[in-house]
This record gives sequence, C-alpha cells and structure tokens, in this order.
Amino acid sequence: MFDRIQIVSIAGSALIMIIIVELVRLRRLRVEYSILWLLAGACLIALSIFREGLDLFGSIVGVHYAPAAIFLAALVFGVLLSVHLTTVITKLADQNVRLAQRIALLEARIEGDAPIDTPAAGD
Amino acid sequence: MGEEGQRPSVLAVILAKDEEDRIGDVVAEVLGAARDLEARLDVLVVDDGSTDRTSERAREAGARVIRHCVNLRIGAAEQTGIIWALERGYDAAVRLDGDGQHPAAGIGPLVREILEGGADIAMGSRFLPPGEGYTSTPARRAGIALLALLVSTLAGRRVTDPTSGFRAFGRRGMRLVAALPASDYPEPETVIDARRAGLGVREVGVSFRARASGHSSIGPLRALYYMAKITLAVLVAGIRRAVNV
Repeated sequence: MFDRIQIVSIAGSALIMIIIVELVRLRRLRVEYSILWLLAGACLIALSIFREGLDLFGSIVGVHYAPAAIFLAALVFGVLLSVHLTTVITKLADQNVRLAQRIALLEARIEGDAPIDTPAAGD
Repeated sequence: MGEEGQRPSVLAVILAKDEEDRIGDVVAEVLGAARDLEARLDVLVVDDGSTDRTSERAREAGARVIRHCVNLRIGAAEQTGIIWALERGYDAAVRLDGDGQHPAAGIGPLVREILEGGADIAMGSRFLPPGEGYTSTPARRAGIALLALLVSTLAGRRVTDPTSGFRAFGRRGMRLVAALPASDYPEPETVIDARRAGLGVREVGVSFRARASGHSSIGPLRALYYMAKITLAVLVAGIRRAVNV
C-alpha cells in the first residue's frame, strides 16, 4: 500500500487544490490563474501515487536522487509562475496608466475643454 | 483645424510636477513665443499628480490644464498631452518641461521643422548649432554620448541628443506616441520606434537652460539605473513588434 510520505503528500496536494477551488468559488481567484495551480496540484498527486513516475522523471533529467527532482520541478514551476505574474502586472500597469489618463482627459472635458474633433485618431 | 486658408494650430504641452514656483513664468514665456510663430499656439500644462498648487498657478498664467490624479511619470504625462492634441485636431504639438529648462525660443525652429520641413518628429538637440552644448557633469555627458552612439547605430542615422525631451510632433508622430505604452524615460526609445514605423525624425539645434528649481527626474543615484534601463529599452525597441501609424 501507500507509504506514510505518499499519504502526506497526497493529502497536502489535495489540500492545495481544495484551497484553489475554494478561492475560485469565492471569486477571489480568476479561473485562468487557477489553471496553473490545479495543474501543479494534479502533477504532485500523480507523482505521489506513482512513485516510479518520480524515478523516471529523475532519470530523464539526470537527477539520481528522486526527491531532488521534485525540488527542481517545484523551482522551475515557481520561476515560470513568477514570469507569468510579472506579465500580468505589466498589463495591469499599462492599463492603469491608460485609465488614469482617460480620467484626466474626461475631467478636462467636464470642466469645459471640449474636443473640437471628437474621434481620437481622427485622420 | 488646419483647413484651407487657416493658420496651422500648435499645442505646447508643458509637463509639470510640483513646479508651483516656476510654472507661471514657464507658461508666460511659452505664450510669449506665440508672437513669432506663423501658427496659432495654445498652451496645455499636464500636471502629473502634483501635491502643490501647480495646476492653479498654470491656469492663472493662462494655460489650459489637465491633471493626473496620481503621478504617472513623464512618458505618460507627455502621452496625455499628445492625446489631448490629437483629439482636438492640432497640426503639431511641442513638448517642454515645466522646470523651465527648455527655452521657448526653441519652439519656433522645432515647430517649423514639422509644419514646413515635413518631419514627423523634431528633436531639439543641444549639440547641434545654434545649441550651446550641455553644461552638466562629465559623467552625464559621457552617458548621453554613449546613448547617442547606441541610438544612432540602431536608428541607422546620426542622433546627437537622444535624451532630449524638448521635441515636436506632427500628426503621425503624435499617433505613434499615443499608440505605444508610455515609458518611464521615453525619449531615446521614441527615436527607434519612430524609425521602425517609417516616420521621419530630424534633429534641430536648440539651447537648454540650467534648471532654476525643482530636481532632475534623474538624480545621481538613479543615473546608473537610468543608463541600464535606457540601454535595455533601446535595444528592445530595436527588436520589438513595430506599430503602424
């Protein structure tokens, strides 16, 4: 049957997935951002159940100590997630600037500075 | 605007943050420059989230004012002014800094390069005659020279003063600035983006003034970051997806 460590890691992974699903249910996490986490959780559960999978993964990437392969995978996942998050932040920052500019332009209009040609890129 | 038989219209976009002591004089000087311009000149101050009375002082001096509720940095402030000019059909826009370092005497030559010379963007250069060079620290001059070399190489033509913020835009130049995401230090990037979009960029010799008040957006401690960021931004601008305007 399962080793204790397998049971612990399956339980831990399941807990993470439950938290993610709950955050999505409460609308505190967007579905598109939950996909990465759910995939990671599913991978962890799969590797916990099929220990040969972990050994196979270790031998593929040339890591002979299987748990180190897990750390490597977790690290790669963390880095990719950070890159993804910075692209999200970049988009948010650009949109923020555009919004603040629009507000300023609309305020000027409300204060009586009406544009003469309305279309923004009108030629 | 700009119909047959009518004078072309130019918008002076003055960027200001916390310049309540200087902005009145700057606006007055720019309004005064309207006299020796064949075009009609309006003045807009973009107040980039000032915490003092910059907006009020600018209005009192006769400028129109648009105010960012938070500080969006210089590139976004310039962009807001440009969008304002686009929406109101101005034939050209000229950007100046609100600390008075850009003398209004340079407006005429820059605007003429757009309206008569047919350039899409005219950059004011301190290193072309009748500009008087740059009276700053050797380190800063070396930095500018380095950037000039890099920008010249990437733009495929000689650019003497790529960091100059004293610059004028025609309609196409304005559309380019409005279309791209605003950058922290936009000037050298714009040159590359403009060349890649097929726009005509020219340099015009102008003089700068030493800052009377306020502080450079680039303090000595930020100089290194500035150089690294600009260098990277310029290199990226050379390989980034180009825009059509």
